[in-house]
Amino acid sequence: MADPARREPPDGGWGWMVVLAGFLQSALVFGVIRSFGVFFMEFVGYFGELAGRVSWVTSIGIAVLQLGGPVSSALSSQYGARPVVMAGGFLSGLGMILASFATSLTHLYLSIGVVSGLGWALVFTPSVASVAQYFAKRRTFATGLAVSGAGLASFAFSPLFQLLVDTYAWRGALLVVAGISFNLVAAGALLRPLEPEGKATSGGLPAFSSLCRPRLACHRPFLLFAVAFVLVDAGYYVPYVHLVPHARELGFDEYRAAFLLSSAAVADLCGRVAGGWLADRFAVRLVHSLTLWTALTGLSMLLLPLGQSYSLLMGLCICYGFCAGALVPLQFSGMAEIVGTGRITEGIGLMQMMESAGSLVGAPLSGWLRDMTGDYTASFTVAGAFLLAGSLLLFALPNYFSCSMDSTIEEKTMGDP
Amino acid sequence: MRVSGSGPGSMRLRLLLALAALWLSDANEPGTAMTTRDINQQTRESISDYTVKGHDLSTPGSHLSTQDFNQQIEENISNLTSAMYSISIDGFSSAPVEENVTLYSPANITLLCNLTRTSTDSATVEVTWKKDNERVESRNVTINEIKNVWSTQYTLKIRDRNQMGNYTCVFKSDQEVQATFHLQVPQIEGKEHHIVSYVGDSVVLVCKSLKYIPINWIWYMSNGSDQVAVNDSLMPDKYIVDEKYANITKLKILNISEKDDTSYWCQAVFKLGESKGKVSLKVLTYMTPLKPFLAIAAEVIILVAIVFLYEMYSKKKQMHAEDEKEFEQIEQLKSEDNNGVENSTTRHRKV
Repeated sequence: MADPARREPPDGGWGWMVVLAGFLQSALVFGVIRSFGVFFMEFVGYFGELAGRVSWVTSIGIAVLQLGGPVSSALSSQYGARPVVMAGGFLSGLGMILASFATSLTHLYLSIGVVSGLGWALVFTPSVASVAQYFAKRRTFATGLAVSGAGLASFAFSPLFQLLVDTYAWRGALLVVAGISFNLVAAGALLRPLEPEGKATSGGLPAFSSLCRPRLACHRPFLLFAVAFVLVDAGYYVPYVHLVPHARELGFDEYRAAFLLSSAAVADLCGRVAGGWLADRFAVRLVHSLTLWTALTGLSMLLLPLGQSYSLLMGLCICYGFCAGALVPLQFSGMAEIVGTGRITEGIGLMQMMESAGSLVGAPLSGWLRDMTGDYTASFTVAGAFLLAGSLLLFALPNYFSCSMDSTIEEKTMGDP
Repeated sequence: MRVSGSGPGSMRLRLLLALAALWLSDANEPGTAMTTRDINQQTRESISDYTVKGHDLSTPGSHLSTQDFNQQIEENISNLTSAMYSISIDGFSSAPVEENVTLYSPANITLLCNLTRTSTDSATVEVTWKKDNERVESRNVTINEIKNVWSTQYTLKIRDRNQMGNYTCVFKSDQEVQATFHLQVPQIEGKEHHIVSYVGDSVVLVCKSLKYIPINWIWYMSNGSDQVAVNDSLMPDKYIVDEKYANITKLKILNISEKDDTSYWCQAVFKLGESKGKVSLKVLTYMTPLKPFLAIAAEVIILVAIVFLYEMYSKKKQMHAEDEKEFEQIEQLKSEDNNGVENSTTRHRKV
């Protein structure tokens, strides 16, 4: 009558509800982060601060989201995914409620950056991990569906946030967005644990000790891959923060500028699905396609300042969005190729933590460049250069130029002490 | 006397300008009445000279009074801009055309109207100018006709606000057609949407006049149907006017209350007049966004409750189903036992 010690992943059934939960979570975390450009303009106007200083608000949030990855995965292996995600959802909403009462930029750094950022960290990693636990054969497809939430959400959220700001000013709009973020708690409730809850306590100590001893840090291909994505992250988020202000400066009104961001988001969504599909369809090595998409993203970002007319700018945004989306599923599967499927969770957690350095630098640097030069041309150019540098670094991976799907890398990783 | 020698030269210059304007308007596509504008700053100095001499020429016989003389010396020194604005009308049947002329500071302007008509129209055309619908008789008006194109030119020296307004050239034969130049100061754009703020918060209302720098800015507030000036020196805790840059004015309103929910006007003062832009302020209390927030929070609590209730329900069902299965198994074992006992008793009986 005892339950089996380890269940087979259901690969369906309640798993689809978990995918729905993951979809909602990436929508409410990344969709909100991406549409924050609308609030950026309001903060610049209200606090009278420079673009560089205001950019820190989202940068701190993204950095805490990524730095908190290992902490969040340790907590969820201790207590289970569900309580951690529900707590994270509550924290992210709480941060925004606190932000609606802010009287200085520092308050925003702490409330949105630290509190909401921590909430987002507690939500993101366990939800992706839960989807992986519920599926085996259809794991990539399920993960792809789950992360596509970000794309759809930023399409809807940009004009919605602009409408909220027009109706309630930024303070009231933040309050309403906090309420919307509380839906993360409801999504977290869907993460029904697979094993009975009492079992997890025995796994507590190893979870935390693995946090303190990341052996992957000494692994050269992993390091190269992670550093490449640190560079990529330095440029990746720049359009999401600065596209709306850049368009407003060119003279387009608020709704048209917000629509540019929405179009980039839709293109990103299509790119995620298409990138994954194309990677499976053609017999091209994963790292090669990854280099290609990263380079194309960097290139389109370099060309972004050339878009003076609305249609050209729209075309470039769509191009950027598609390429940026296509590289996301490839990044996670590429990690599997580098470190092996056994160590993938650890690898993703550590890579996220390292990427935070890149994203922490990215948006404030581009904001500072804008303040120095007067417009966003230099910002986008530097961001594109970071992406291209990251793609070039991928060339340094071992066995890059061999044509076959290399399983020798996996063998090497397993041989590590 | 200064008229000698350069007199015919200045006449030639006027004719040249008129021809140039005609040529430029001919170069445009025919078919609809259009407007063209030609700002000619290169001839600035020479036109100032021309004005001096032209004045003399058009009033032959009069002496230059010392006042006129001084004024013209001043104009010569200050290098006023000159500009020409023209409208081309294509035939008597076209609709009245209008053009807005934005004047920032005193200038010499020439308004030019050209009428192109077919040769079947009757020969005489009466040309007049009107200012604000009153007929104007002026020595600064010239009328020409070249090959079915009637043109008239009105030279004006705009020095103060009384000269701003609508100037209309009217061509009349058996039909009448006209074109109007609206001379106005630079318009200030306000904001179309309201600016929203909260009770107790502070807000900044901004008006910009980027191309033309006003001499001064004055803020007004609507009080019913009146407009009351906002005095920031009288109430420094409430209103602060920031004039860091001359072309941007910012009115900061502190400690907002519901009485501040009204329209504000920023008035830019120029040498030739004023113009206003409107900015509306809408004041909300914290209750307003709180309502949708509470509605969404309630929805979240309901959803969480539904999810947990459904889970408890499905667990109960599962346990119930497991209990039933156990029960069936026990029953089955029992019945097997019973059969065994019965067999032994029957054996017993048989013996």
